[in-house]
Amino acid sequence: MTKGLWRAQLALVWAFGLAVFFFLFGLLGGPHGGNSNGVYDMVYGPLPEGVSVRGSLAFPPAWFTLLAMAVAWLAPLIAAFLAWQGRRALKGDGEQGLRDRIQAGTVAAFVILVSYLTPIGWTLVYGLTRWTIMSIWGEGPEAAQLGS
Amino acid sequence: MLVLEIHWPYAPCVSQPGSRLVAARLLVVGQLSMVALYLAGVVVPYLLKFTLEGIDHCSSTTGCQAPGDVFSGPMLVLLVPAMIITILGPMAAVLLLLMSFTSLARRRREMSAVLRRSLFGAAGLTLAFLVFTLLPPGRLLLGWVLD
Repeated sequence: MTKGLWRAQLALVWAFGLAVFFFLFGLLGGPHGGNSNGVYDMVYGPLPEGVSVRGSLAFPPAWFTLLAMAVAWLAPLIAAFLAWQGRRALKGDGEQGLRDRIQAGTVAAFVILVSYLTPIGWTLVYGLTRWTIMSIWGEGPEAAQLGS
Repeated sequence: MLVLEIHWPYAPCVSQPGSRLVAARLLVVGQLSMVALYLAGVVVPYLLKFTLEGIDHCSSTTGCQAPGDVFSGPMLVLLVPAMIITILGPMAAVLLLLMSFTSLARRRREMSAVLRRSLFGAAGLTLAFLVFTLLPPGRLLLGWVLD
């Protein structure tokens, strides 16, 4: 049982949480699809008729959503590994304080892993990937002409 | 020789559990205040003004009514922070939940049962607030505030 495992679990939870933060940032603050107010439509729906978004790497949110996208794709693999490591570590002995932390980190890693078996995880991955592509390359019929 | 004995209540560089838990208490207060302001400043006024009257804030006769068109005076003092929470609250909720997790994971054994339950309860409320803001009623309230 090591502090390194707890630090890795804490880093995973914060990275996943910040990915959710940037997903909400893209959902509530940026251009999104669909004509309704529903989250599903905003993530999966095409842009409204006649709307195009210009893409640019100089646009700072593109970098944040890119990082969040990488986290969203890698999180289930890392969560599975850290949940397994946590379970193994908890079978052994160790200082109570560290044991408590690893217990919490292991539960959190399982929760993150399970979220990828539900629409929550996949919507996070799809939304962040879409907004990253939209922020960098643009979306819509006029995207290439905008800003030139 | 004069010897001055100074009795510090505790070693200056070592913080006591009580002082370290101030952050956890502030976290509970922050989360409860955020949810309470949202309820009192946006949800309840919308229910009273529109939903119970059987109408929406946008109608064919009056057009779309923004919060500033409907309320004035002292109510705006409550409404303005609630509007900020409606817009930025979902993102702030994620950060508050991350802080709650870190606090509970690291110090839950040092906490009193009341504080531990409060942190769990406040985190649960914050999660419920986050989910509500993404559902159609929450999206409707955001639309009203942005009008």
